[in-house]
Amino acid sequence: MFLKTVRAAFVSSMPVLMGYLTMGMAFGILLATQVKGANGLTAAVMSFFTISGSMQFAAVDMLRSAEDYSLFLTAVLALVINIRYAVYGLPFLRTFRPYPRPLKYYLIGALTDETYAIETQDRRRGRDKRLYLFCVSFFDHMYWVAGSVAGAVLGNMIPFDTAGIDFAMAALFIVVLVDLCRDRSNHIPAAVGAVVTAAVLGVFLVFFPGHFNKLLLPAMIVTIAILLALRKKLQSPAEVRE
Amino acid sequence: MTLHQWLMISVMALVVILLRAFPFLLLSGRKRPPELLFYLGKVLTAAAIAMLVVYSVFGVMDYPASGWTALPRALLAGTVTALLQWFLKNPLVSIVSGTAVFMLLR
Repeated sequence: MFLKTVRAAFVSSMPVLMGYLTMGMAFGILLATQVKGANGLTAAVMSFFTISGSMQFAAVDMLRSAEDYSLFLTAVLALVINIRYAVYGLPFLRTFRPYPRPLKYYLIGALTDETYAIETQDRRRGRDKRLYLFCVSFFDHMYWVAGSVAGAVLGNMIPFDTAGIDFAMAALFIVVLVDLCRDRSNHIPAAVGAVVTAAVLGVFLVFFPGHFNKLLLPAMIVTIAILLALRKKLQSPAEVRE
Repeated sequence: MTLHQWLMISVMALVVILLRAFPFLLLSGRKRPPELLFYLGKVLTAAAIAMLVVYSVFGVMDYPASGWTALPRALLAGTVTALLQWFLKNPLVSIVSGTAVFMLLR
């Protein structure tokens, strides 16, 4: 029974294996080549405690020009980039409630897009489900950490010129955006974010050249304001839950 | 790695952990969470990622060495990435190809 469940969890996590290993490696390479003094340990700590691709790729850019980021600004950016996690736990509120604390906290802390997708589809019950959920979370978590560390070690050994490799960050965000845009309801919010950022960028280009990394906060404030104003229009009746 | 950088890493990890714990900390499970949270969770994700796309693609102009000259190849590399992802749906292929285009066009 025990081994059978562990094996089932491993099989479920297989599609995530390659994705997390390679994406983790991309993150590690980027971190090691862009941030001075970053190594396998840095990558391990970040990946172990954060487990969020978009957050960690954005973190590389922020750490690179760390002097421009106060801890407050860092917290605000992290909050907005990861706001979706605030609703991820909802389907599991009841499931996790009777679980022992350490297990419950781990399952909550390790919840990512991919793990969420696997775990919400599971129909198991009782002890078997506990073990299954833990194994899926743990396997996915370890793939991500392992990939990141390998990438960081590799990144510190790359002998050739890595100028331009930081475009991988832009590429990752483009990939995430393209996938989000397969859902029509994301089009308008995405357009708002893009247009506002482009406008703020234009202002910075003219008035504060060389300070691009300060534009995210104003762009974010304007975007949130517009999205709040558009709430009635964007929230379709189907999405309003009673 | 400076102390400030390690603190930034801690702050980011803490924010993500607190966000994940949010429903469990504040909602009893019986009550419905505020509607605004669902709305923001959905629209803000798309908006924030779009923001990061614009920021990171146009951000190449901010490099002292490259400036404006980096923009055309960033736009081209970005288009390649987007098209590959749209049709092939393989993140690794899209990211590696897009980055290679950007690096090799120098």
